[in-house]
Amino acid sequence: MLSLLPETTLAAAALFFFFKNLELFKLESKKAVLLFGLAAASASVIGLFFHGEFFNGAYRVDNFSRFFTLLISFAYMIACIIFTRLKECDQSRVDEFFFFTSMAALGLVMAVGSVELMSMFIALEVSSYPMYIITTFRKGLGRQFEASVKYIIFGAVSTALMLYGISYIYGLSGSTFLVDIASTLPPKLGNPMAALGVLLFMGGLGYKLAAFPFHFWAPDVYSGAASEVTTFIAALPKITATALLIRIAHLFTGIEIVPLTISVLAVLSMTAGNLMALGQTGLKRLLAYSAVSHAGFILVGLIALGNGGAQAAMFYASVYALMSLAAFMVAVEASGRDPVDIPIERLKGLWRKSPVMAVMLTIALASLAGLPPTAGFAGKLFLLISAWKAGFEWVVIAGVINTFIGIYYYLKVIKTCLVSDGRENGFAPAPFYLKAASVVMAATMILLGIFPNTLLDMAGSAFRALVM
Amino acid sequence: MVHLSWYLTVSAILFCIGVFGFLTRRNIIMMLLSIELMLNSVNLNLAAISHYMEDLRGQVLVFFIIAVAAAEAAIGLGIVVTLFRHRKSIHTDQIVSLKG
Repeated sequence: MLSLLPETTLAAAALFFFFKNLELFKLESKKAVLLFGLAAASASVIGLFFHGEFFNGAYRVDNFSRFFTLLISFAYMIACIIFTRLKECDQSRVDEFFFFTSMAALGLVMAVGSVELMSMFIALEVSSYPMYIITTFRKGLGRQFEASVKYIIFGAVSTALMLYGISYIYGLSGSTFLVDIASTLPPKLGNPMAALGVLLFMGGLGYKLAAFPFHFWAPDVYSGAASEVTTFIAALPKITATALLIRIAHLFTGIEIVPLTISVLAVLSMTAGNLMALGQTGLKRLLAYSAVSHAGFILVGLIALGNGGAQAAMFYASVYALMSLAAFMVAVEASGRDPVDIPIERLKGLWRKSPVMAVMLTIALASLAGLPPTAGFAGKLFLLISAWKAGFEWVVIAGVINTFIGIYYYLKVIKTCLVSDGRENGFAPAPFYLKAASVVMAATMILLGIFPNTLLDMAGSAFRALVM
Repeated sequence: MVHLSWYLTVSAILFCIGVFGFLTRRNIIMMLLSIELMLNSVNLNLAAISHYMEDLRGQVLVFFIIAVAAAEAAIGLGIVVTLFRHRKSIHTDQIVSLKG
């Protein structure tokens, strides 16, 4: 029973807020969400020590799924800490908001543990629908409905692509269980249906990751939705998408066209994201395009799965989730007065008003840019080394060039928040626990950059559980 | 008995019509309908493969897809209705306030 503890905790959180919505409990919502965030994180730590198989083998709890459950639960906890500062979200729907986020986190955790295509699909949908809905939870008549429509339409198309891929994989292997697929598929890998199936399936996941041809929703949803919602959408689904991409890609390493296609998409994703980010004046839109370029970096890991790419991608996904949560924590603090996006100028004078937040944002952006000694640098280094080992030299060169392009626009934001003077931008002083959380996050980003081995070894043992 | 490849061809054609419709239509309702077409081509694929292999899992997956597509359409149309109330339009050419 303890092996399903993280899932149970998230389900309990969702149920609690569902009944809270019916006014059955008196507890204050914002305290409750903090409590459930901490509970989910501790449950995921306990869950690391228990393994098992459930639902007739469709759901497996092993090192691999628990590694990602840990990441999702910690990201959920940080998101919950940020959710106590709801600024742009509709206050009358706070309980609904917490219900949907808990439900989405539950779906993401379930998707990571699924080892059967049908349950994987259902879990992904369970996580998607709440996110479509919370996109509209913004005060006032902003652009949230437009953002949500774009999100749902691209989401539905990517679901259809993914299902079409599933139908081909099912047709070739005669089973939806990944174990059976792994044993029956190898002789049929030459079949174009296999390549088409797996590429379509990965396309559906690429949408979650906001990778190149499926990234069109990202900038609009990031800027149109409330900052708190964007915090959630920017960090958590990416972890699950990475997990599922590794799960699927490692089954189909025998098809030559798959790594080739992924490498092209990875380079296009990095370049397109970075080039589009250069001219942005809105903070959330800039972070959206930076997410597209980081999706490209995570994809680099998939082309070199056997050469340490899987560990590197897992490391990078965890670091990326942390960096984007850190950046959005400041974005939430800065938000609340703009019709759509937060102009970068709003960060002027952040250093005077809130030095802790300014330092954390600086470290987060330096990490996103990939400057040493931050965790982002270590992650990029591991990814590019693995790609080099796998013989994708041109991807490495493209990655390095893109890192340099990225530094420009991240430094622009850092300069605004540290150097530029601004008097009228009154940041409300952040409460104590938020400052403490930001200090911890900033320290983690530096420590993971200097001592990346602990997390990398965990990722390595998680990947070995998958291969066996 | 009709050979499996016939079903797969029809389903591929349906899927392509869906993709084409999604890319060319500018009305959100029509785009959702095109997505529905794509999902139904998947259903046809799965049902045919399932029948051909005498394995019921494909048909079970079809039931799930039908249910999930209905839920997706409900959420999608709900949001489209709200969007229409605010903008008086559901044409993507006129809903372009988020760009850049």
